[in-house]
Amino acid sequence: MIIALTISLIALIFSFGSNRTAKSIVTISINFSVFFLTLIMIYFGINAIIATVIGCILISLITLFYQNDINIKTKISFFSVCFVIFISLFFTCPVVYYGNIQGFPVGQYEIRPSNGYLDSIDVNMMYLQIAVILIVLIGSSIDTSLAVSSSLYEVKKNNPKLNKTEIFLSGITIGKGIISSTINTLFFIFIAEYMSLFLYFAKYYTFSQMINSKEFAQEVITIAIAGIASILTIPITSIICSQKYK
Amino acid sequence: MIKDKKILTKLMVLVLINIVLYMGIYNNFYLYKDTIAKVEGVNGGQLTASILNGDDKGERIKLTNDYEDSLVYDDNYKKGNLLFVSYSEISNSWTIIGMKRDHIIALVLLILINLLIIFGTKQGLYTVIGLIFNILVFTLAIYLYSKGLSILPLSIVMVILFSCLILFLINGKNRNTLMCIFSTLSSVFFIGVLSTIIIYFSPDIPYDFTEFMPEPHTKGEANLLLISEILIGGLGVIMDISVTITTCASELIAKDKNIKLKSLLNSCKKVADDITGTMINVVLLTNIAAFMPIFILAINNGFRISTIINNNMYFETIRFLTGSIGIIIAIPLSIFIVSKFNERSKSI
Repeated sequence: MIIALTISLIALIFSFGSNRTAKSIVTISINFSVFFLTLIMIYFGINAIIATVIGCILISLITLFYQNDINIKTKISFFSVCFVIFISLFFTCPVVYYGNIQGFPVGQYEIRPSNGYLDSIDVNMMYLQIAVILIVLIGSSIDTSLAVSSSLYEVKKNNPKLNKTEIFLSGITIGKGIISSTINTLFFIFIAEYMSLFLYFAKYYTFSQMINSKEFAQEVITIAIAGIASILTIPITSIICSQKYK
Repeated sequence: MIKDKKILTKLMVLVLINIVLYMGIYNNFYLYKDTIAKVEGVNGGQLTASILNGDDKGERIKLTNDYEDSLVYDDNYKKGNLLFVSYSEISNSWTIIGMKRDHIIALVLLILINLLIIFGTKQGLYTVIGLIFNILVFTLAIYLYSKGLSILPLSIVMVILFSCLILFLINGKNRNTLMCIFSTLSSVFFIGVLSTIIIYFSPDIPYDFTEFMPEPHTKGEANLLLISEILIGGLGVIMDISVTITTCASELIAKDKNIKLKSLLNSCKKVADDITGTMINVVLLTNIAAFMPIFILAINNGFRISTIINNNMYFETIRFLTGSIGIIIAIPLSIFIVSKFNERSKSI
């Protein structure tokens, strides 16, 4: 099934997309490899957060500078995304730490010691959960940041007299249009991913069990933090743009 | 200055509402039948806690928490955590049965909603309203499923409701919205039909490894669930592309009424080029991220990489592929629908 879908995707890209869309096949393949490289690094004992931050920076480099060109717009986006990763760590770590949302909850009966998944491993699942959140937020953050920096570039080109505050404010205005589509994109991917989980909740859990369960917390907190990060991307990118576009 | 003061008052009100809401959820112990205790001291696996509700309110108790350092299945409870505990007459002691996480979820969601309203103002508020409505629709669908309705028809109704509502909230009631709805639904329909055909012609789909699959299930039910997941998973990005392309195509047609379909296609493709790449990237990363813990756990237990990918990553990959197909197909479909709408309005 995967093969049939991959062939359909590539066929569609070649029949409807242009060269740059075709380029995205290469970008996606490289990003996929970076994702695996990150996992292998974690397997060989590198701290999951450090490995993932390296992975995220590589993914942003490829998506911004290979998929798009190296220019002031992508450079600004790259710095904004790095900054967003840095800030996100400050609120992601305490939430995961106090919320105890790492690892596999009791309801996930496929992943159990009896099925060969012993828990005496050297990797700490708490760091790994933070890594998952970072990977989710990096994608939407790159998307948002590039949208803001390229729109602001056009704004400045058409109105060269704008001062720094005006550029910043128009960045926030542009951001308003992007926020809602980003949040919806994240929301639907997550609903689909956890649809079977919700059917499971409906069958076995009461409402209060559900909202306090680890599986529910993992999901809602991950999507919410990705949303928070992509909203924060807007003012951060706008500030950097207002300083750099002259 | 007056404007500044107004904003300041608004912010103060917002902060106050947040604090009240959060404290309300943090202190909602009386809503629970289970006994809740707050961890006050941690000494290795030994916890001291005090009970916050019920008949034993105020009592200080001792709890034992055994955990593995990897925290794969266990939790390392910290000072300040709220735990559900139960008393056993036989062993004459208290045991931990779970953790209270509702206030932590509420905190993160409150931050998200606040940021949406601060940076998005009116549109942000609409997004919040849309999300709340979508969650209600989804909850209702799950409820109807548990009452015996099939998941696929429910999902199709959900897709239609979701897209109508969100597009109305974003665009308002006008012709553009109608075109967006048509192109979104036809793109979702396309990936639905495509994946249905492929599913029924492909032999082994490893449903045994689907997380939280309702048991027992037949292959037919599992197929329906997979198609439902594909339809809903692609909806967000497809809507995004449809809105962008429909707006672009309508503007081009408004500027030049006699524009040829081919040049329309080419101009819109340029706009699409800027967004498809990063969009496919979002779909990829969001879908595969949850795979990380399973991979690390499985590989440390000696599973082969190919086995892990084939079993545990199968559905993530499928949703990524169908989502990307949705992105690509939404571009020509949107342009086609805009030009059809225009021919119609011209002939009238």
